[in-house]
Amino acid sequence: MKKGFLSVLLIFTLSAYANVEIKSESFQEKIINKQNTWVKAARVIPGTKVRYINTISNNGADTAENLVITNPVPNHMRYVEGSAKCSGACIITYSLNGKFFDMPAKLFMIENGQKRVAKATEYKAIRWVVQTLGAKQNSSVQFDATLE
Amino acid sequence: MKNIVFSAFLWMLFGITLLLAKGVSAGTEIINTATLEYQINSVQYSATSNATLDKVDQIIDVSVVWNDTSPIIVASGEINRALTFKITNTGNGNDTFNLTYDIANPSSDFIVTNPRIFIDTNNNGVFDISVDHEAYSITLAADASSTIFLVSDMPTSSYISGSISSNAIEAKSTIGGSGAPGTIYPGKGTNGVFAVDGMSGGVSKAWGEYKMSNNLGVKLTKSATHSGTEVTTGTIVSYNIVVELQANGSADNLIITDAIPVGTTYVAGSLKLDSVSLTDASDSDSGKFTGSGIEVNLGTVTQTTGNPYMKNISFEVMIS
Repeated sequence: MKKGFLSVLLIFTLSAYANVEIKSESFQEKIINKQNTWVKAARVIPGTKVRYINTISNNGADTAENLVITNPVPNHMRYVEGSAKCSGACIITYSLNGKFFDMPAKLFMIENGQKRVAKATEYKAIRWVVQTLGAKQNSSVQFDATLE
Repeated sequence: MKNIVFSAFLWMLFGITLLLAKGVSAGTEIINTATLEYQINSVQYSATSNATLDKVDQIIDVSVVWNDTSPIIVASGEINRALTFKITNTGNGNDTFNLTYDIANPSSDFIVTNPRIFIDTNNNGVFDISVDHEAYSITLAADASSTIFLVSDMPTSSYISGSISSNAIEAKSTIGGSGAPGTIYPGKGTNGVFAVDGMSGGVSKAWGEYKMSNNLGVKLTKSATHSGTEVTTGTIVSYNIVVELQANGSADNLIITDAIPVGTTYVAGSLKLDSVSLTDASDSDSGKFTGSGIEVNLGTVTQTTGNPYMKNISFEVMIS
């Protein structure tokens, strides 16, 4: 019992001093002066394409490593093929169930008894792996999804 | 209520997406959260992002279509004749639509009277005045449809067959319905969300047609004369058929046929329409000899007051 309490306390402590934060924002496309611009979303309608941007900030003094950002595609949204990106170097994988992640060519669905490569709109989650993020550095990952 | 019309650029923003009206229900909250796992000095950490919240606006859209497959055939003086329409809430939230009729189409040949709108209460698609109820507004959930009827009386005056009367039902949203796609209504949507007029502008109108069909009688009077004083082998008998209409009106594809009597032989080249010869062959003129009789296609025939319709068809046979 005491050991368990200490473990919880330790995890709490590590989280409290983690120093790397993640902030999520949503944007939607708007045309201003004949140019596409992304503005903060708040109100959307069916068919709206929303861009989700997650910004990771390392506020500490040490380099963070093996950063894994996971973003489930929100309910009622459909991932837009090829839209997942990152500001630096990263590896992007996708999941059909939120648990197992892999490259698009290795994600399969069964339809009418036939195995086929999954469509991007069927992805349930996206994962970015960033090797390092230096102290006082920011990085971001993003994807687009369309409201059903 | 203050309506705000989207400026052009905002409309361009919605232009494509409004084509996809329906979809997620108005008021739905779209929430996004991401998680982060990482290591510092080989110690594992994790973090969770804030949750973004985007709320789904209510798209106001409606569709009214005329559901009869062809004009409703009516006769002068008939009452309670129904045109059938279908109204669908093509938006993504509940809406109440006001219903109005329009019987003043300039292209109509006749104007109906006593127009009323009924809702198909028992949802059987057939108008029944004892069951369906008269109403001028209808509330529909997103994607829901209802059959509605425009019920009218026909004028008692006589109109030629084929006369058309075009009449419409218009549905207009009580939330929006500006007619201008992109007009927004802050706080007027389901549960207080913003509402915005979709591609229909929140208004839809469809026209349906009545077609007048008076019973148009065709009168045929056939007479015969023959050469000589006695009818014997070789006698030529000339037949004449007078074609008349018994009322004002119009009919399409009026075809007159007459079989050659037994014991006679058709005299080749004798077929005439109003004294103008017709060839026996099936060709560009309106008559032909079929081998067993004559056939004349008079096409569309019309009679109006002061312009009676009459045609004479004649042909000859020889007694065998």
